[in-house]
Amino acid sequence: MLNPLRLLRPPGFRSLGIVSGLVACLTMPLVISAGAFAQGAGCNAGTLCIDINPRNFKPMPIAIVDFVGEGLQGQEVAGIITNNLKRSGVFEPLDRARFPEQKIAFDATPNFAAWQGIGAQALLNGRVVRDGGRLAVEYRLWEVSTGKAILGQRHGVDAAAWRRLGHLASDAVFERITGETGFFDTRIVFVDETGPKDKRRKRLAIMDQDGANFLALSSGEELLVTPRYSPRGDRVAFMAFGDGRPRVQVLDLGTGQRNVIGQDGVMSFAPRFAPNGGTLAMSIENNGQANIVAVDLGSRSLRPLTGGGAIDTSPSFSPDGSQIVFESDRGGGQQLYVMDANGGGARRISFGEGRYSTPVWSPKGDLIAFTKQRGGNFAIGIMKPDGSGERILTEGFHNEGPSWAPNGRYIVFFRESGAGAKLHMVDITGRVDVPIPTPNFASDPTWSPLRSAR
Amino acid sequence: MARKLDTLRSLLDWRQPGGLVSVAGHAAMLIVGLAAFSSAKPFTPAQEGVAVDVISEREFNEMMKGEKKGEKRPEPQPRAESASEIRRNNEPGEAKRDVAAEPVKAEPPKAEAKPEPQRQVAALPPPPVRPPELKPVARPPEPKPQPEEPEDEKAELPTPPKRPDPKPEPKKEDLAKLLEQKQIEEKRREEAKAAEDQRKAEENRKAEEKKRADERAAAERRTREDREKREKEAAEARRLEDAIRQRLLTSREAPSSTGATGAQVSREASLGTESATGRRLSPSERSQLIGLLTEQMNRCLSIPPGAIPRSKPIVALALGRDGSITSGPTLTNPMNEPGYMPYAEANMRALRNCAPFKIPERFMATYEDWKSLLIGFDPSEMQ
Repeated sequence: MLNPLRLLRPPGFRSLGIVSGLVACLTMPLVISAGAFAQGAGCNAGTLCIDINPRNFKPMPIAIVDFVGEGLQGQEVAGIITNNLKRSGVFEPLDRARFPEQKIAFDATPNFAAWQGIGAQALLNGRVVRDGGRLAVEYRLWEVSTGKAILGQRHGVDAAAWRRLGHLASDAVFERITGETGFFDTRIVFVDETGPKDKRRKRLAIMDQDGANFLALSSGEELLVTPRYSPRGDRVAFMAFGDGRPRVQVLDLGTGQRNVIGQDGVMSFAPRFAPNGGTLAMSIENNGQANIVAVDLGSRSLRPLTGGGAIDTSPSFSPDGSQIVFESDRGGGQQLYVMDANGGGARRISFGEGRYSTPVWSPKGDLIAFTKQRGGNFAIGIMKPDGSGERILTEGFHNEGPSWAPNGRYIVFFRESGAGAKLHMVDITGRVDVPIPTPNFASDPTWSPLRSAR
Repeated sequence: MARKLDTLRSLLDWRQPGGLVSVAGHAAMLIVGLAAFSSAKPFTPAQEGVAVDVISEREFNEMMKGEKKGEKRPEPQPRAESASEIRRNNEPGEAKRDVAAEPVKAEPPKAEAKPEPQRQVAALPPPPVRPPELKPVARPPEPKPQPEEPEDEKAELPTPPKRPDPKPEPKKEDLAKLLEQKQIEEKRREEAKAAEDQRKAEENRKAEEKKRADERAAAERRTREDREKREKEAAEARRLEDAIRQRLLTSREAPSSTGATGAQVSREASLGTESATGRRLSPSERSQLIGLLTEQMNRCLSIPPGAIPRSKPIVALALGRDGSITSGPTLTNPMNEPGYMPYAEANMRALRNCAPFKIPERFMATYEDWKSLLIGFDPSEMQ
C-alpha cells in the first residue's frame, strides 16, 4: 500500500528548504551590512571603519610670522594677533625662536616642509601697507600640511587706529578656524578703581579688549557703576549716585552727552538696553519693593513690566527682543525668571541651591549667564533659557557681573581676591580662564559689540 | 594471658571510665588534628584563556587564499616566515677534523637598482612680477571728515602666484646705455687700427682651430680606450658568472631547505589565482588594529573648537604599508551645520599631522584589507 504521506513529504520538505535558503540569501547581506557601520557611508569589505570620540581639546599650533612693511608696525600687528589668539585658548602660537623662516615676503610661498617640521598646522603671514592717511593689512592663512591658502584678506583703517588691524585679522582667523565670529575688535567699558581700599576713586573707563588704549570717561568725583553697552555700541547706560538717590543715565560715547533717564526723586537702577536700542529696561524702587519698567528713550514714557511686593531687578533681553530674564525674590530666595517682553507669563528657570543674580542673555540666544551665591562663594555659571544644563564656569571668593562677548562664547566678569577686583575672561566650556589686563583695579565690565559690525 | 585480658577488660569496663575517656580523647584529638592541618587548600591551577575566533568556512577559505593583487615577481622567491642564518659549506678534505662552518649574517637584501628616470627640469613659468590686483569688496577708502569713525574695508585676497623667480632681469634702459657706449668705442678702435686687428684675429683663429682639432683627436682616442676597457670587463664578468652557474648546476649538494626561512620575513602575501581574494583580517586582528589606530589618532584629535555639531563627520583615507597617508583624508559627508565643517577640518588637519601611524609587522600580509579607512569623529559624547 502506498502511504500518501510518503508521496507528499519529500516535495514539501524540498520547497521549504528552497524557500528558507532564499530568505537567508536575501536577508543575510542586509543583516551584515546593517551591523557593520551605523552611518550611511557604508563600510564594505576591504575598508576599516573606526569611530573616534575625541575627549580632549587640543589648541591648534599656529605660527604667526612678523608682518612685513611699515617699519615696526608689521611686527607689532603680528604681536597683537599672537596675543589675541593665545588668550582665546583655541590656538597655541608657536615660539618665534623655533621658526625656520623669520620673515616671509608677502607674495612668496612659505617652505611648508620646514614649518611642518616644527609642528605648525597653520601659518599666518602678511604685510602692512600705507595708503594715504590710512593703513591696511593684507594677510594669508596657510594650511601647512596641504600648502593651501585657506584665508586671504585685506583690512584698512584710519592710521591712528592701527591696532585695530591686528584685531580685525585676529577675528578673521578665529572665524575661519572655529566657525564662530570673532570678538577681538571690541572694547570694554568698566569701573576703574584707584586709591586705598576704604577711599576708592571709581571712574568709568573704556579700553580695547586686550587692555590697550585705556581712557577714563568720568572724573571720579561722582560714583558711577554698572555700565551697560547699547546694542550698537554707541551709548552706555549706567547708574549714577548723584546726590544720594541713584538714577539711571545714558552716556553717548561719540558726543560725551549725558541724559538722566530716571524720574526725579525715584531710585532707578540696573539698566539694560533692548536689542532695538530704543528701549531701556530697568528697575525702579518703591517702598522697599522694586519693579521692572520699560523706558522708551525717545518719549521717556515708562511702562511697568512687573508688579507686586517683591524685588524684581537685573532685566536682560533675549537677542530677538521677545523675552526678558530677570532676578526676583518673589518665591522667597533670589532666583531667575523669564517673562515675555510685555511683562506677561513669568516663569522660574533656576532651581539649584543658592541664590542666583545678574542674569545676562547671550547674544546668540542659546545661553544665560548668571552669578550664583552658595556657601559663601560666588560663581559664574551658564544655563539654557529653559533652565536646563546649568554649568558653573568658575567659582571662588568673589566672582560677579558677567557680560557676554559679542560671539556668545566668552564671558568677562570681575574677580575679587584680597586687595581688589580684576577683570577676567572665561569661555563657555570653562577651559579658558585668563585675566584681562587693566591699569588699576577694575569691576563691572560690559563688552561692546563688534566695532566692524556697527 | 588471662591477666592481660583482664587488664584490657578492666580498661573498657564502664565502671572504671578512665580507659574509655582516654580512648575517646585520643580519637577526638586525632580527628581535630586532621581537620586543622588539612585546611590549607592547594592552589587551583589557573585556566589560561585561549583567544578563539569563530569564523565561517568561507572566511577561513578567504584567509588562506592568496592575494589577488599581489605583486608578481619576475623570479620566484622562497617564502620565508622567519629569518635564518646562511651557512657556508666548508671545503671537505682539507681540514683534519670537522669544524663547524662559521655562521654568516644574512645580508640585507639590496634594493633593486632602478634605472634612474631622466629627470627633466621643467622651466618655471615666468611669474607675474606684481600680484593680482586686490579688489576691495566693500566701499573704497574715502576721506571722511569724522576721524572718530574709521571706515572698515575688507577685501578677499587672491591666492598668491607660485614662488617668484629670484633671477632679476636686467633693465632695458641699462642695456641700451651699455650698447651705445660699446658702439662708440668700437667705432673709434676700428678707425685706429682696423687692419692690425684683422690680421691678429686671423692668426688667433688659425691657432685656435689647430688647438681644437688636437683636442678632438685626443678625446676620440680616450673614448675608444674607455670602450675597449669596458667591453673587456663585461666579458670577464660574464665568464665569471657562467662559471658560477656551471658550478651550481653541477653541484651534488642536496637542496637542504629547513622550512620556510629566508633572509627576511616575507612582506607579501602569497600570490593567488585571479578569482581569489586576498587574505583577510580575522575578527580579533581587526579589533586589535582598530584599537591600535584609535589610540594613536585619539592622541591627535580634538573636540570642536567652536559649536558642537550633531552630525558625525566621516573621512576617507588610504594608508600605505608604512602607516603614512597615501590619499585623503577627504570628507565623505559635508554638511551645512554650525560647527560641523570647522570640526571636520580641524580633525583632518590633525590626522595629517599625526601620520605616519605605527602598524605592527604582523598586519602586513593583510594590507589589502585595511589600507582604506573610514574614520568617524563622533561628537555625541560632548553634548
